[in-house]
Amino acid sequence: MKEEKLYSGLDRKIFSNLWRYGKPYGGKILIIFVLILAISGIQIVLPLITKNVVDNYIERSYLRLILNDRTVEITDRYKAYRIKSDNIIFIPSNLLNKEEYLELQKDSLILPEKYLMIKVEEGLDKLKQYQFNIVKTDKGSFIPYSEMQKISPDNIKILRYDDLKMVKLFALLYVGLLLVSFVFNYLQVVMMAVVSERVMYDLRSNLVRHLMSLSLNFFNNNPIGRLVTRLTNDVDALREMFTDVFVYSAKDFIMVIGILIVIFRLSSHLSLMIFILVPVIVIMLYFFQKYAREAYGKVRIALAKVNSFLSEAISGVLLIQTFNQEGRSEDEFNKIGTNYYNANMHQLLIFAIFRPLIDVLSYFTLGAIIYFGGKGVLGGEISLGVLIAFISYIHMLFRPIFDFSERYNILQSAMASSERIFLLFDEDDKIHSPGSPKYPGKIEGRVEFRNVSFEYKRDEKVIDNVSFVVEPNESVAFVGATGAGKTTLINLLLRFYDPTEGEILIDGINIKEMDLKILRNYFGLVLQDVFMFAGDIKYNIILNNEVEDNKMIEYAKYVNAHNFISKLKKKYGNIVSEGGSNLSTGQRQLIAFARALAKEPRILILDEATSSIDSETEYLIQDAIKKIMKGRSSIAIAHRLSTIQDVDRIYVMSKGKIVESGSHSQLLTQKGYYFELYKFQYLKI
Amino acid sequence: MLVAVDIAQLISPRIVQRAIDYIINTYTASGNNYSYLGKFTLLIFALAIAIGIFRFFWRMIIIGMAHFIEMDFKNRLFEHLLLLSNSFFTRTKIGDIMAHMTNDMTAVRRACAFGVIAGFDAVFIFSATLIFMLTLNVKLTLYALIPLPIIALISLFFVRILFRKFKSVQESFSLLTEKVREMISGIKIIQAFQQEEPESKNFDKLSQEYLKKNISLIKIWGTMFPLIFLFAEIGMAIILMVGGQQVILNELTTGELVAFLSYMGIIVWPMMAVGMVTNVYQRGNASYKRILELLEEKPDIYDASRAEHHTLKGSIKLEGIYFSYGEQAVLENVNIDIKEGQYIGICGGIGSGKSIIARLILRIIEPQKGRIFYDSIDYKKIKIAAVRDSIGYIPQDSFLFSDTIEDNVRFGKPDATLEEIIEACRVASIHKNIMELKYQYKTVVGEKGVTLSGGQKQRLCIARAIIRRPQILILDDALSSVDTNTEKEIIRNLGIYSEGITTIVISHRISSFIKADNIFVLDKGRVESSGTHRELIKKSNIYKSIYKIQKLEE
Repeated sequence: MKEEKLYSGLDRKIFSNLWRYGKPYGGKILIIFVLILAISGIQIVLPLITKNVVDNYIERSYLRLILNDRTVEITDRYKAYRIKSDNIIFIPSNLLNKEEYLELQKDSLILPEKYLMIKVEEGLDKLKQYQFNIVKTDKGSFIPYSEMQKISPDNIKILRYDDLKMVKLFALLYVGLLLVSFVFNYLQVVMMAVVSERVMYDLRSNLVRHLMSLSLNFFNNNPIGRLVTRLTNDVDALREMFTDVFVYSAKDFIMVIGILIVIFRLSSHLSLMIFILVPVIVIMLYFFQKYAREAYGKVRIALAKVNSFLSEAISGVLLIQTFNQEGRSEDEFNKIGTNYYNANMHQLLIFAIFRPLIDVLSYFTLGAIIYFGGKGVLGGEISLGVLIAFISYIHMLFRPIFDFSERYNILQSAMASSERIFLLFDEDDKIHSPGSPKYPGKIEGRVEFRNVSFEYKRDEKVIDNVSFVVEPNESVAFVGATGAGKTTLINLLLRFYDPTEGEILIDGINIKEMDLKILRNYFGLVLQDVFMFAGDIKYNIILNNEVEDNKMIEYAKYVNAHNFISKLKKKYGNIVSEGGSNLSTGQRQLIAFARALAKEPRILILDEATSSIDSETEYLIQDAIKKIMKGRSSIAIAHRLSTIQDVDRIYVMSKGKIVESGSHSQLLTQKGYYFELYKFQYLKI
Repeated sequence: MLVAVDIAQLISPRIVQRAIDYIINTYTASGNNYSYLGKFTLLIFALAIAIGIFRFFWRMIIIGMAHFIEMDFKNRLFEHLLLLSNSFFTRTKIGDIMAHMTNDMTAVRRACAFGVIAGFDAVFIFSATLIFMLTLNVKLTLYALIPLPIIALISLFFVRILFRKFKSVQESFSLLTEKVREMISGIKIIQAFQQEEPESKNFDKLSQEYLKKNISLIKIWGTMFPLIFLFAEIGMAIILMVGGQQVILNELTTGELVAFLSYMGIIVWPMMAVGMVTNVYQRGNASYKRILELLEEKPDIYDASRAEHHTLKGSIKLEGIYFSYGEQAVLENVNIDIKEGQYIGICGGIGSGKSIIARLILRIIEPQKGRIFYDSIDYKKIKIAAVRDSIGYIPQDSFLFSDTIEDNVRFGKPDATLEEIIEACRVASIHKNIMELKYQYKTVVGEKGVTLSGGQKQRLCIARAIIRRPQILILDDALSSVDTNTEKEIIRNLGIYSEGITTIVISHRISSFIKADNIFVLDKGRVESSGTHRELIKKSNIYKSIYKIQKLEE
């Protein structure tokens, strides 16, 4: 697994994998999309309300046409809105199309003035004080716009009572829609959070189980930090993609399409302007994403270099100092840092070009819309409201394009993360339990190694043709120098690794043919470095199994651990700090004994701690070891020879081979390797 | 420049307003003069280009500066780190230092870039927009401003909650991280005790907790932004209502109405920024303080003011050395006398204190009592760099950099030629192995390249030390992973190579210094005995016993 692998492209597999996790929440996702649709709809409708208010209530104007056959013919299409009197036709100014308008204008059939229609009869009395030529029809009176300037606001209030009321009403509708949109928005965000968090929870849950099933070999080959990142940061990056990228992209897409449809319907002519822009924007986006991706890749690589250099320099600081290489390391770091800075500046440049460019484009569009739209309004082709709506829509249309550039980085890192996550899922370095396992007739605890050899690396034999038997309830011990292969024997016995040659049998069955659970259930394991879980002492003894308190205390008493535990402030509830540093090595050892014993194992495996322990605890440990070895098979790896003087048989190992074996006294009389070891230790104590 | 962009941005609604009013007036007057309309458009185009150019430059300058500051700061911190003593690195986790170098630096940079830009922008845009709005229409401005303080309050209020929630999410996240770390480091016990499933369930619980915290964070998030937008849009509705009525009453033109709508869109953002800027600034400040703390760390081993440069000839004397870690004494009254050009062995079991001696000589640590003399000069009178320059050190952990073999050896002597490197590797008996590799001396070692065996690493470290042609060579348990035959070869080579060089071999393996001029046997922090191999076999029981066992092992 390579660390800084950059994502190579939109991978189908990643999406299908993601979809698998999203599927159970399909219903909710559907609701989310409906909500998004609704929210987008409301946002698109809002400028239309403004347009409606401007056109129908603020700038509500009529054209005055001279009545003749032609004007009647043209306006026939709008009969419902047309108001005819003796020699005049009034028609709402936004109805005529361009050709009609131009034709009528050419023939001077349109009067230059625009007119306001007044329906309120009592208002007319007020107007009498002004000298207007009011045109009265059976449906209402018409006043030229230019005359309106002369009327006092109070009078206009009366005259245009309806309009004012409608403006208020629509403003309230506007607020109403906003409230609905707010509620929908909140629901959408929360639902999306719930769904994406659940998906990530599921993903983590599966990933951790997968990880736990992998072999020790895998863990030895992969740095722990990297694996931790997979389960933490990488999953988080994926969530960002889920919420930020998917949802907002969908929203933006819907918005853009919606806006394009609306503006097309408002004015197909004017919207052509914007449609021309689409390919320009697409091309710009294409180039942007191309360069941004490159730049992003460079930044990532440069950053990875900075970080790995840093962490290496800190780990090797002693070396740098003793070799007097501080200056050179600084220079190197400056170089790498400058490289990172340059990569950042390059990325910045791309964003600094792209963002203002889109900005310029949006202003250009605005300018163009004002020009063509203005012409359109003057030409009677579109209403003023339409122009205003267009101006709003331009802003709305450009927002997603801005966001695209922001979101692109998230997408990039998320894709890289998900690629790494799913690569880890594909990892199959496992010790597999056999499909049809064999079961031992009777669980007795007989262990046999038959010509077992093992190498971690090719041609580096760690175990070389080792054979031995441990009969039920027998106790054996292995001694030898570090690197002699003692611990490897245990790794093989528990099937953390499979032997390269030979076979290991337990109760007559090859462990490869045994169910892994049944196999590991045989053993109680005490390791050299006692591993302590973050939790209380009770948890560290019984782990996640259900063991009654009095039973647990019984185990602890048996291995001489109860005494010190009951002296602790919270006794068994005392919290073990990180790595168990608030307990002494000896105390940890005793807890490990209790832990192994709580399993009531058939075979006990003991890898004795090397570090020195005070003599009082030492005595407790020796005593506990003797006790827990009773009534079961046991294999001990001993560093202190005093521990194992009573075992049935001692194997002396050197360079992967058994070189001597026999009881303590037999080995002493042989005056071989064991004898010398014994003498050495005896001397030192 | 920021001001220019802001002003340009504020002018554009004004042009739009003029254009619209012009359209209406022309319309009413029916005098179609499109060229006048074109003028507005051209004006907007010009403005657009101006905004574009200015924006490009301020982005490049301000954000670029922030990046530059980050780089500079990082360099300073790195330089400082290299000055610090061993004690600092033993009590500080690498992860913490890395966090200062990455997360804290990013926070400072963001405060510099975003904080400055957004903060300035917010203040300026707000006041400028306000002025523009007021000159247009006071009444409408006052109405339109109603939601603004609410937005600022929402922003301030929620950002504070967000910050708190964010912290609790992060705490939950580190718990999750710790759990994974624990599960992976305890994998052997977990698998042996078949705790895979129950432990995964425990992990799920933390994951669930993290999920809840996240959702509660997003709920705040999901309220804050829509709420801000709600009030911003309500401002729009107010303008529509009040302004619309004003237009009808001839108190406002339609173009002015549109301009107001645009200004409202602009003025909302500074209100939102209030919260964000304070947040970014606070975080940046907290990070800045943490970095300063690190910069204020003082090294506890440094040159005395009267220290001078002195090229070591090779005699070393440790006199009455007492050294302890906390309460626990590691060395007690140790006296070692090493003459120029001698081949010295130091042996002892685990915890006998033999590695400490190398560190003392290298001045990585200082004795609590006693003195060290180099060429009969008190150690405090010699510059640390001078001491280290004269020593070739081969550390116990055979640390190599993830770099090519060539550069790893060159680390000992930056200006070494390839010939020199090969020569050093020959002496260290590693040349042949290197030539068998695919890329030979260009092979990258470590996590990113090939993994070398323990013995190979140790031999590379030897090459790295001897290429310095030092006056003193210290091998700190540096042959433990090398097989006996190779060890003999290296010792033989060193014998020839290090003629006249003081060589100190610290090892638990007697074969490494069987021919030494003098061997010191350490036991429990004291020199138990010293002498040549022959002498020790006779007078030291410990030495004899170690020797016999090692003989048998072979």
